[in-house]
Amino acid sequence: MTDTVLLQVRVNATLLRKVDELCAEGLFKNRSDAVNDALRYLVMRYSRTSPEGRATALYLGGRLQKSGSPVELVFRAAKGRTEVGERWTR
Amino acid sequence: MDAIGYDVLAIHHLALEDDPRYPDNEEYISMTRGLPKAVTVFDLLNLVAAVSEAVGERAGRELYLAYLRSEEHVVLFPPPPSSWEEHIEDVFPDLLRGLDYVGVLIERSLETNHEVTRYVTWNREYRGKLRTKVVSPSEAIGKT
Repeated sequence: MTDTVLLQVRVNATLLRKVDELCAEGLFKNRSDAVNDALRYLVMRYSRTSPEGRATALYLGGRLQKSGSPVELVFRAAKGRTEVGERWTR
Repeated sequence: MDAIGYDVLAIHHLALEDDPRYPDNEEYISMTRGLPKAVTVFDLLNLVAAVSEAVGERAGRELYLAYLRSEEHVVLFPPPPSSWEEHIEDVFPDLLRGLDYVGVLIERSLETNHEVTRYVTWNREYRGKLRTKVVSPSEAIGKT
């Protein structure tokens, strides 16, 4: 049997009513089942192994800390001549 | 607010000084320094590819994270498609009027932010095809 613990948390009342509706529709057995499913999704979303995947998840969730500007990042091409896109002369 | 195409960003980040577009490109980048700007996730991913190919993957990764963390850029992500059928139905009308697929994805991204008034790129193919006004950096700095 899976190890379980009692988790006491405060949640948004409106959100909880929606969860109860989903339970009543039979999508989940009960609130615990729904919360377990949501937690699984949450852990999966933020457990991505690449820094890019994790940063994207944090950005989309509005949780990525902002700092600086990338404008200062200038690289010197190492592999010969580089061309970008189509020429559009003024 | 301007949304900036990957070509404009690549010319800047790769310091392509031999490119005839470089002076106007740099003037545009300087002019918008410190101002709020947008970049679509598709332009950002293309930028990662261009920089990774020219410099190396470390630079590409660094740039991607720097744009997500940027205080002056907002990265525009369109809503993900719920199904391929829905996605094909959504993009098809724009494809039929000659906008390429990446252009449609850029269009969908630009539509997520109503503050975007211009898309700045050297790519003349998007002019008249994106619903957002398309200008070159030369036009944006008032040289044409």
